[in-house]
Amino acid sequence: MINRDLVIVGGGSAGLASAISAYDNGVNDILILERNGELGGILNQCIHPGFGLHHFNEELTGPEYAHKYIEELKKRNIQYFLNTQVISISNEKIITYINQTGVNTIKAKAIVFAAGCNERTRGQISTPGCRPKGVYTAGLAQRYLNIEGRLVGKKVYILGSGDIGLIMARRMTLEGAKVLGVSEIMPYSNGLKRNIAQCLNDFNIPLRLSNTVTKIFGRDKLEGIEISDVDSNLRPIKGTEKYIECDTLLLSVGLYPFNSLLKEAGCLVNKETKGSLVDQNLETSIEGIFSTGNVLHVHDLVDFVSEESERAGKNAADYILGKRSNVINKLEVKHSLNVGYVIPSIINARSENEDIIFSFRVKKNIKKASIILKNSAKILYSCIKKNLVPSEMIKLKVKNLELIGTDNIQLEVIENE
Amino acid sequence: MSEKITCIVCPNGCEIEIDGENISGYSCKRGFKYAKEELFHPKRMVTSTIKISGTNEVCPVKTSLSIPKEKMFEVMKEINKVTVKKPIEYHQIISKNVLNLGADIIATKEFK
Repeated sequence: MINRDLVIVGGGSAGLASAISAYDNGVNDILILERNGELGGILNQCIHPGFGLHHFNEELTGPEYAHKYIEELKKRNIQYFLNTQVISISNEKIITYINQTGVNTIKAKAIVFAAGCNERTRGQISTPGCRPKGVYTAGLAQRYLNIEGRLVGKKVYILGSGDIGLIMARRMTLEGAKVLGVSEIMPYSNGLKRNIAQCLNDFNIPLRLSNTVTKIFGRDKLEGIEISDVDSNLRPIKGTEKYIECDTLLLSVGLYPFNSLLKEAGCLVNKETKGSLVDQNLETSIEGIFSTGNVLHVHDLVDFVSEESERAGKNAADYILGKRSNVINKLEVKHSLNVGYVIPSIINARSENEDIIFSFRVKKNIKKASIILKNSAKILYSCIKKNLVPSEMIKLKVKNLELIGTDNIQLEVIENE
Repeated sequence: MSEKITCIVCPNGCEIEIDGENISGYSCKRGFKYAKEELFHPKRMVTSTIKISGTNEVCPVKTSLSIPKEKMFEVMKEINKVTVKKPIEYHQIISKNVLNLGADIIATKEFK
């Protein structure tokens, strides 16, 4: 068994940013394990622009964003293995992986887990009807088109208004397919507003809110679908059914962290995100194992993945180099009902006051809200934010947050009139 | 007569209101520029892929500048006419001055 200081699982946006940051913070013995044949992860198939405005202050396509990071990685001579699948991680930080050389194990001082997320599939949303070919997740169709150069269909319907579905609506339209519409079961869109504008409105593709696919037709090949409006309980309304002839149905119905390896290692899971439960340093319940990017919680912007992963890399480096002081207080982070989740779930305070970054999502559209952090005795921080929507993650950087004299901090989002 | 547009420059997606010469609701310089352009001459960046000859791979490309929105499909036609050979440099020009619009088609990824 080989010993390494830091092993990073995943060579996508999260893994790359973690590696560079760990290196710049003093750790040189780093190995990235990537299951694909190239670095960059999903960025490689996201050939559209819109990345990097926060992080690089310029608009880049996915491959360009990846390129910038890969160049930085190469400057630092950070080692990576491609076509390498990690198959287990133990609570002792022993990693087992498979590649062309066989089955190997590494003992790491620290691990950054950056394995990304998966798309929800038809099975997970229980769409009734036949099981013909022609039904794809949007990201899979994107991979076929943008990496392998194959268009999956000519008459397309899209279920779910997630960003990948919207991006694919434009992409397939430009490649000559007819995109007939997008159905979203919720009364609001799940995608970014700019994607509704530039991917649907630019091409007159209708977006049907409070509407879903209720039947799939076709024995071998997809022949058509039935869509229906839904009521406030998301149940289809009888009499609103409409038949649409199509050869392709794309599902853009959400993503979930691909977190099974850490779960098996024994890292506690955050039930709301399905990722690991982490503290403010992105450290899981097992000391020295960090989690970041979409495997921790699904982000809408790669820029935020990079930022989070730089923190994970630095924190892993501080852990390896023994730079951390002892924990003086443990706090639980709770949240009010209209918050979907908040990260971190716990705070391991190493000093009385710390700068803490909170990432959270609201559960419904809120025009104007007071955002409050408090403990059982007093309000610690408050601010006002406008236009909160579930599809956009909110990041709150709080300076010098007081972390003593209490065992919990509550995040409250209060709707203002 | 006022018109509301969603800014596509960044993920904030500001709602910008255009009322004659009056533009409001943007939160950065880029947004202001976008709104003005959207009013007089809407432009978009086109991204697609180009076949790499002799392989099953495709190379992602983009227009080096935003091109008039109504020319998107014509530019796509031009992109689909071309193939490219390895090695491909990052930001290598694949087609110069496409349709005389002043923008080049450039590779957004390197292939060695």
